[in-house]
Amino acid sequence: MLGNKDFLAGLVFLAFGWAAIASARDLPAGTTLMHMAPGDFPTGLGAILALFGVYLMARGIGWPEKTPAPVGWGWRPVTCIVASMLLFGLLLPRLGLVAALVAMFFAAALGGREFRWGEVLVLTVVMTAFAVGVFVVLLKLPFQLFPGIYLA
Amino acid sequence: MIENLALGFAVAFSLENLAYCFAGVALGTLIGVLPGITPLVAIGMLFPLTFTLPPIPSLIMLAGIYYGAQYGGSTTSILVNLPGETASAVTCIDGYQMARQGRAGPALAIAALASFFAGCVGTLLIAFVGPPLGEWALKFGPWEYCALMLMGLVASAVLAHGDAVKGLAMVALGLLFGIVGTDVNSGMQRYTFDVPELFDGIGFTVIAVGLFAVAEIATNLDSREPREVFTGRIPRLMPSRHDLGDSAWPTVRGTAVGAAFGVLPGTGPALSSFAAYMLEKKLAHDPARFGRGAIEGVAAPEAANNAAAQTGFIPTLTLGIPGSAVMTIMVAAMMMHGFAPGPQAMAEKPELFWGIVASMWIGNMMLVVLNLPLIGVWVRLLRVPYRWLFPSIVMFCCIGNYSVNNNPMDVYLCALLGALGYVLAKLECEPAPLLLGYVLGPLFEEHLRRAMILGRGDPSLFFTRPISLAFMLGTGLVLAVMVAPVLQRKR
Repeated sequence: MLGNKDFLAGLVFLAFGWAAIASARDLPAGTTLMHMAPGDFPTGLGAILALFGVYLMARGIGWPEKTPAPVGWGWRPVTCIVASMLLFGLLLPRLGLVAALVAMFFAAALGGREFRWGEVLVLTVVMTAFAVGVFVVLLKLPFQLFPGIYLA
Repeated sequence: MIENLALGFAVAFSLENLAYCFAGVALGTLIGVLPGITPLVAIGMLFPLTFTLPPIPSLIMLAGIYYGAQYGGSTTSILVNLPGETASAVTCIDGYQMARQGRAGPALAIAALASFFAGCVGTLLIAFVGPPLGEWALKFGPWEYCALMLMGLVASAVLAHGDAVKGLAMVALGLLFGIVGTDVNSGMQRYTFDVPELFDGIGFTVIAVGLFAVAEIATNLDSREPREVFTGRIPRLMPSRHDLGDSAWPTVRGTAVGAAFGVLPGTGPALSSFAAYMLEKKLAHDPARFGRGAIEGVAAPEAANNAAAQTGFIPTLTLGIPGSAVMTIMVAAMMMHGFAPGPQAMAEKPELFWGIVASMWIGNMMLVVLNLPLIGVWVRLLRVPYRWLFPSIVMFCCIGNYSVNNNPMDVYLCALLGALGYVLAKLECEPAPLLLGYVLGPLFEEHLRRAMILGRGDPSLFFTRPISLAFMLGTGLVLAVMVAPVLQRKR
């Protein structure tokens, strides 16, 4: 009953609204409308967001058949994509662009429906060459290719 | 007005700028036509490429990417029955049927020609309507700006497809994301949690790429809908004289409908193409032909969405208020180059303003001249399997985000926002209103606080100043549209 899209979306919005209000408490609040302080706008917005969240949760409870439970949560694709981006960010400053891209491609490809070693390898080689050519040579982005090795 | 346009064309017709415009159009089409990549994703992915260029070529290239990506979107809706974006969803209905009847060539050609016609009219409209509108906007005080932004935000949430309440919540969430960073009035840190990379706010690329590109890949990977790709050869490209005659008036009417919708902030191309299609169906002698490959059903919505896309630049450039998700990307890119669109910009940097307007027309023309002969290439691209594409898109997202500040933090944030976007998409929350809220958030707060100081804390001024009142009534009307169907259902 609580697994429908309205209820869950409401929950997400309520959480963000509450977090917004809670962390705006450290900011000064204004005394009158004329002297709005840095904390006022965020607090107001957080309250509005929380209200929308509560409304959606109520609608989800009272009218659950309107939006059925979300289908096909695929945790693997989203996890692999996020992990591949984190790997890229982690490796680029340390081991250089080539290593970062190799790690990124293999991690991302694991999130796909099928994973073929040979294909991913070819794709990685081709796209890494493309990235070095376009971003480093042509657009002159200051990336290190390998640890300590820059292209001019 | 004519001298303004002339100045613009002088800027845009320099060899360098033409080359960038061409590069943008070609890249935009290339990426936009790849299956599973919407124009927004294409623009979000490619626009970090333009950072390294000087302002004018960069914005010209971006406009080219925009048109190319849009054109790529209509190509996929005709050939794959897969609308790249909501604006071309209507084109699928008859366009795909035409492709199945072996008339894919004429459908693609008419889509391009109708778009080009609408683009020409749109460009002229910008040239004629822009300056007076900009002058009028100089009279706006903070109240008018607040009310106008409120109308745009509410309209984007309510009129976009999907649930209106969720849209409004997404706007509020976007406004909150926009607050992150140093408060301009007091210099205080808000929602930065002592992370130095957040002191300047969450980067625009981070949000756009995370919510649109990354989230979309994750969503695509777990949907299992089989895709039917039109793989036959395209025997004949040029439409017959009969086809041209049939689509002439629908094109004109679609242009008019689109131009009218495009100026309204928040409504954008999607609504206009749908409205144009319905109008043609109403006017047709034999409405039953629609849905079975009527060429009018391709011409009218394509003209409408391009006209709307073009006139969407009017509020964007003259008032500084973007009406759609794509326009927000354009505004963000302009701001990155130190060009804040608005009434002052037109007067201060005419070569930039009119250069962009002219290059939009040139971008449109390049689409027709260069892309129609290349159709065969684009069709072949449609068969590239998604398992090769998505890691490559992730690569563009990573490099693009990293290159903005040369800092891995942007890549991490983008990945997290991608995960959030995925969850929200699964819960049927549209990301476009969030993006609009994020871009307008800081502007809205600034004007709101200024309005309160100037009005000595009196909020009634929003309703007593005539222009502001008009925008407020507009907002009320949009909200009434939202509530009305609920009431009807209750009865």
